[in-house]
Amino acid sequence: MRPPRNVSPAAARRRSLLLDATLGILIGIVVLIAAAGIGVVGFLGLLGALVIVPWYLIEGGLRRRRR
Amino acid sequence: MATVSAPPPRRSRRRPRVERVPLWRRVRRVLLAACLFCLGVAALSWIPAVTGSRNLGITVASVEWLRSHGGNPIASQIENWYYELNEPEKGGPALTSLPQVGDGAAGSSEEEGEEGEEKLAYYEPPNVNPLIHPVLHGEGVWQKAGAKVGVKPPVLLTTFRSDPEYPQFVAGVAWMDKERTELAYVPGLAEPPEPLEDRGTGEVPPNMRKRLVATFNGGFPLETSNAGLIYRGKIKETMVNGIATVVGYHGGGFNIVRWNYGNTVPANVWFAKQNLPPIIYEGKLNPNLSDGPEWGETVNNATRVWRSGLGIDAHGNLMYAAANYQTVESLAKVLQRAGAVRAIELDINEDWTSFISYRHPGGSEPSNLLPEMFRSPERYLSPDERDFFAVYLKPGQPW
Repeated sequence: MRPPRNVSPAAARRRSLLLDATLGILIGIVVLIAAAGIGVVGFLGLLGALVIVPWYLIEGGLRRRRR
Repeated sequence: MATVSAPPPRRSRRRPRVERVPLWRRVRRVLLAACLFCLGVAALSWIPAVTGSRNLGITVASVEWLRSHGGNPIASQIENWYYELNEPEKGGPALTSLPQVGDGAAGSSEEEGEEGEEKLAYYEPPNVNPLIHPVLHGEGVWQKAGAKVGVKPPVLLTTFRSDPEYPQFVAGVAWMDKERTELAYVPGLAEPPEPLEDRGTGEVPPNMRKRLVATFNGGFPLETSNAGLIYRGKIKETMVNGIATVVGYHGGGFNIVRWNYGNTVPANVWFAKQNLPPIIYEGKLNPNLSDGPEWGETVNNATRVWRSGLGIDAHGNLMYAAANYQTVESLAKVLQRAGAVRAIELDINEDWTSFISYRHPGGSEPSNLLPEMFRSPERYLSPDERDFFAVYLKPGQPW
């Protein structure tokens, strides 16, 4: 069974989000397997989140200001 | 006449316009998902570790969790950077007084007049020869740790300035009489991590507090020391030859040795806790004190930080020393100056360095060796994460 090709823009966005999230989890699993321990995994996750989450927040703030 | 009908309108084949997300945004999204996944999985282990820590703050408990889950090199590197940024300056104004320790000078007992002759039969360590002049009041002079302990105090305490280049640093030293005391190894709740029958509750057992005279911190966690442990006559972690070892014998005797028995338990050994190479051996400082990797997977040996060590004097009595802003070498010199002929480095950092003496029997009126010691004097009277040593009066010995 093939998923329909022609989908609404909102559905396409959801698909792309799902794909990216799945890819992210796969990368996370690889890190889990490769890292020396769960402590390292948590540390790397925290570092990454501390960079990316504020990046999103700043970007969102700037966008709202432009409107 | 043929009629030409207009062709039906062609269905538009154009797909609805989908706004394409730029590649860099998708990469960022993937990375965020990976980070959140990793954080979520780690949180499943971190939350119980932090909430289960009885007497540790969230920061220290988190660092401990990181260390014990593969992140020891990361934690040590961050610690090293922190201490490098906070390195103390040499010199500075001279101190005018030392912290008060103990309950009066070692020879100043109320019973001294009656038992003065008996006192001569006992060994008492010579006062520590001060390094910096003029000498401050009480510097290097042994004080009794307990109140009303008679002419033969089981534990003596003193302080002295240990480094002429840093005249504001004060080292605290304790001396424990081998004739009157015995040493016990007490496992903590989380250290050693090996499963132990009879682990206890991580505190001085209530039934032993009547004889309790002192407690002090153990060595590095086994994971960072890569050394061995014998507990109750059984090997719990592989013993390593050449490593400094605090040995407790059946009957309460103790010694500090360079381990040479391989992975076997000599018949009379009750416990043995290893930690790094000896810092003093046969009266001499270890020549490799400035050699980094030999001193464990933790902060650099030359980093000035709270450090503690345990030595043994020429008569077989125990000596504990601790001070802030010490290197491995300066700590060894403190112990050597106090009279130790063999010594082992114990735990480091303000969170782990504790020497507590008890003024009265029953663990009553506990006090830290140095006022700057960070942990509460009640530390070992409630469950603690780390293993430690307890010094008891021998059975039948009067307080």
